[in-house]
Amino acid sequence: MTMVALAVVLVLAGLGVGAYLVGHSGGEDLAAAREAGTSAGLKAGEHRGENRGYERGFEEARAASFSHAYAEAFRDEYAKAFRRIGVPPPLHVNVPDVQSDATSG
Amino acid sequence: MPRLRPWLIVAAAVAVAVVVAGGYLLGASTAPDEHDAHAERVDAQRVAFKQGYAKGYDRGLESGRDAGAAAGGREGAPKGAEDGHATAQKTIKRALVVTKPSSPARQSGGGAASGPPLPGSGGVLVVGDSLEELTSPFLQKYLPQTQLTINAVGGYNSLQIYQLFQESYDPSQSVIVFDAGTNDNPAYPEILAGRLQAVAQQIGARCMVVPTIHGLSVNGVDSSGKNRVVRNFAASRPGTQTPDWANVVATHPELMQPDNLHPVPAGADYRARLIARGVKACLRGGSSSGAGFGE
Repeated sequence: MTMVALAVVLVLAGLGVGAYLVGHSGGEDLAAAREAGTSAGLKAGEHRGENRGYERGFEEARAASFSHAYAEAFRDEYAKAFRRIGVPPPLHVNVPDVQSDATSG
Repeated sequence: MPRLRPWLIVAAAVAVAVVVAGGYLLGASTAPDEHDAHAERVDAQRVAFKQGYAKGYDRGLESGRDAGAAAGGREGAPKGAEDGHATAQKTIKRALVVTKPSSPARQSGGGAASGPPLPGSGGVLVVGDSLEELTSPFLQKYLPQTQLTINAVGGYNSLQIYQLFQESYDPSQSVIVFDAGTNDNPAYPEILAGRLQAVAQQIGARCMVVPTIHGLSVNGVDSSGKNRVVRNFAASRPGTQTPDWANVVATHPELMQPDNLHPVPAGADYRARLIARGVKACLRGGSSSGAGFGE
């Protein structure tokens, strides 16, 4: 009698666990959701980051390069103007502080 | 085989049904739903966005710098050349305008001219320290027709005054008043000597006015060494004018403030007159002896 009762309990437990697993497996696929989120996040992040980085790098480099090129050309042309009329140019030329006025692009 | 009782079969069937239904419902209730999937997707997206942003930012920064450097160079060079040309032309034009009317006068000179014409357009650059700050307001009175450029800062030594000279020197100037040395340590007159030589090298044949120095003694060392430097420099460079301010102070102590370093207004006026005499002598192409004046 005891053996029969034990067998019945075991069968019922097996059925319960099986039913639980079937019920649990019917939900949303989290791994797929995670993968989709990662892929979308990477793409959006790279796009945004690249744009921001480009803007920043462009502005910085353009300002520095503008000042350098401006000063060099200013001194060069200033000295040339004096040489053209046969006057030795000054050793020190004051270059005005001119900033690039164009907007980023 | 014992015969199964009907109620036992029904009880077993009910038990099986309850266990299966309960297990299924329990399992279904803990299964991830749409909300969980959305949260998982959003979390993963946020983390990945940061990683992607950092990666993309570096790449963008690099390409932005390349493009920015090229664009800056393209914009800066022509604008710098244009401005440099215009500024130089303005300076040259100003020099020519001033030179034209003054040239005949210099040639006829009233008998005063004794040397070759000075380079530049007759402008005068005055650089100096606090003494020059006090003196310069009177200078224009004694040099009314002269284009003066004054750059003086109180407390400056000869090295710093040399920097003022570099800031303000322009080839259109014909005379440089280098009013320096009062704030130099008298134990090291060679510093003043070096700056005088540096100015002389830059200005070519232009005339210099270098007043002698009345400074404070430091550790028992007075300004004799610095004044020797001034006189030796003047002697080695014909045309240099040395208004003898040190002698004026020695003979007219009433012209000085109680600190015995700065002149009172009458002293500043006197000093301006001395320096103006030096400038005029330069512009006349006068005394090339380098001898000082100031009585």
